[in-house]
Amino acid sequence: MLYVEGLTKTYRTGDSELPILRGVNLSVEKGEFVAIMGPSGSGKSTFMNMLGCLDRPDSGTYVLDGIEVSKQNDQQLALVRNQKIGFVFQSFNLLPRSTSLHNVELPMMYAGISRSERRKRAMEALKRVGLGERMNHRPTQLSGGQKQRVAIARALVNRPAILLADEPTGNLDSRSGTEIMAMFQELHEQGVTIILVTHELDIAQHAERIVTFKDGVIMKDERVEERLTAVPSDEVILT
Amino acid sequence: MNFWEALRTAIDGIWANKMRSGLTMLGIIIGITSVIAVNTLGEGGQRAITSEMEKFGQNSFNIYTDYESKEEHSNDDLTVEDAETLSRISPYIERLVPYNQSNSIVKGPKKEERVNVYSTTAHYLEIQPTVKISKGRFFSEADDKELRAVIVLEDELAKKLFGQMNPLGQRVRMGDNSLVVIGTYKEEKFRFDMSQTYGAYIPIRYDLSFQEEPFVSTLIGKAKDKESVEAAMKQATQYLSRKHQKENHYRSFSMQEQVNQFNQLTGTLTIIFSVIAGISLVVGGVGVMNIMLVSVTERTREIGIRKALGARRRDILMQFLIESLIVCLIGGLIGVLLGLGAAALVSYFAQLPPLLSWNSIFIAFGFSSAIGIFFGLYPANKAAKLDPIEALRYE
Repeated sequence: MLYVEGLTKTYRTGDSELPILRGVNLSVEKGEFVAIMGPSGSGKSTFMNMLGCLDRPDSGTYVLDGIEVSKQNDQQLALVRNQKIGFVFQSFNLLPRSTSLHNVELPMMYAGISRSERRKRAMEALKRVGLGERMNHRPTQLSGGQKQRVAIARALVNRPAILLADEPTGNLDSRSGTEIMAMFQELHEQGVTIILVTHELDIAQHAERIVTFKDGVIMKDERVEERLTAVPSDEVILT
Repeated sequence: MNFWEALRTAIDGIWANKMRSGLTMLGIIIGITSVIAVNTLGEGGQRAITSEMEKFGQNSFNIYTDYESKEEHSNDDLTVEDAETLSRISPYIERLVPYNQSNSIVKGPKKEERVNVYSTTAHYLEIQPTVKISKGRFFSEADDKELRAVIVLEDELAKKLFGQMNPLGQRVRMGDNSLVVIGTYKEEKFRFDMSQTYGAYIPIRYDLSFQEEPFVSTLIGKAKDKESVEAAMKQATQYLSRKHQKENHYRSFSMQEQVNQFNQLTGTLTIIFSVIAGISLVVGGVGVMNIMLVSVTERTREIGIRKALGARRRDILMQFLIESLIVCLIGGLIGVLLGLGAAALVSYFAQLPPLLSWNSIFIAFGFSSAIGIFFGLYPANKAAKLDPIEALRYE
């Protein structure tokens, strides 16, 4: 599903060079739920941007769902983001002036899906995250948890290969956070491949695998023994 | 994303910032309004005056002697007979008549008035259809040849001189002469003729008979048709040069030339004013660019979100370009309406016929689209080139 080898990235400011990623190798299977952890400055955010095709590595290979992303141009990357990746951000990143429905329709608009089909699928997606009653609300009329659910609906509506969540509970109160994590669990059970960036261990422990970054490389890559759900991980991989 | 999606997105963007969009439009509105008003008024005035001129002298022309001629001027450079001969022999000339104009005091029983006195022949009415006899008659060829002291007064003048009396058969005094009123007339005045002086016609041979230095100042003529005007003027001047043995002594001038000269003048004026108005349009365009740049900065995060969700550069470019295009087109539309309104208002008070200048409307829309695209391109391109990561991080 996702395969990364020898990924490097260095930022240059003036004369000084700041290596952020120094050869990252990782592979994620379809249906896996992976948490990425690490202190700030460890390179996990940059890595996330690479996975999300928002940034390109200096060297190394990144293959997503059979596409060698590291060799694509800007326009092709936009298509990959549109078709293969669903983003969930810490700050929700909904269009503030648009309704939930329109926000969820947005990726399908860039995918060139017809209006009626878009509307139908957006409504289904919103119902799926329990916001069937909030379709015509604007983000300002929604709670944090609801906003994040709209974002999840939007992330999933184009049926992406991976769901990338960057601190999805960071701006939520603990009750909403738990709610959102339960939703990730549910999606995981349905077979969605999820990569979650967090710095909180208890959030990371919702995943079945925790990858820890330090100084631009993966320092630890371990299975989570203490599962919060009863579903065995190998059963999920089969779906 | 197709064009219609981009259009909808752009309209949403404009609608979300109604106040700002309106202010942005203002520059375009003012520019287009002035361009349209100037052009419509220019074209309307031009057409009104042209049509007036044509009504008053279609195919007509004048023959006169050149002030700057090297030949000696004499009183018989132009004669009544010349006009009659040319009318007879020229295949191009419908009618040529001698024409003098003077200013005299005309005394009636009630009052006296300063009057423009025109002297010509009986055929004058053939070339001047705007003069309509309302009472009595115009003088005849016999009146002219026999030097009868007769006069035809303008209706208003007759009323002034005679009050309620029937003027026909009455006498008026003009200098030492006493003339019999044989008719009154009404003249359709040239719309832009502001003169308040009344007119009267007398036979030219009678007029010349009591002048100390009798001479004919002008021959006015009418060609058979529009195409014959040039030939008619050429033949008339050639004939006169030959007959009077004077070279380069005669000049001709047609109503058409006058119309052309006038059109050239108003055309130039319209262009000058349009350019001035156009400058305000460019200023409006700079305003659009300014606001679009603000809008791009303000919506950096939105651009980042759109890019993360799969918007290509082209999609973002289109969204902002269409937005500035629509702002300019709506501004253009309002400007056209206001401009036409302003032109209609001025036309109404200046008593010009109202006119819809399609040309300037197309030009206005062309210009506002061009401005929308030209001044929208830089901000739109700036938006399209934003780095999605930075844009998402933008607060």
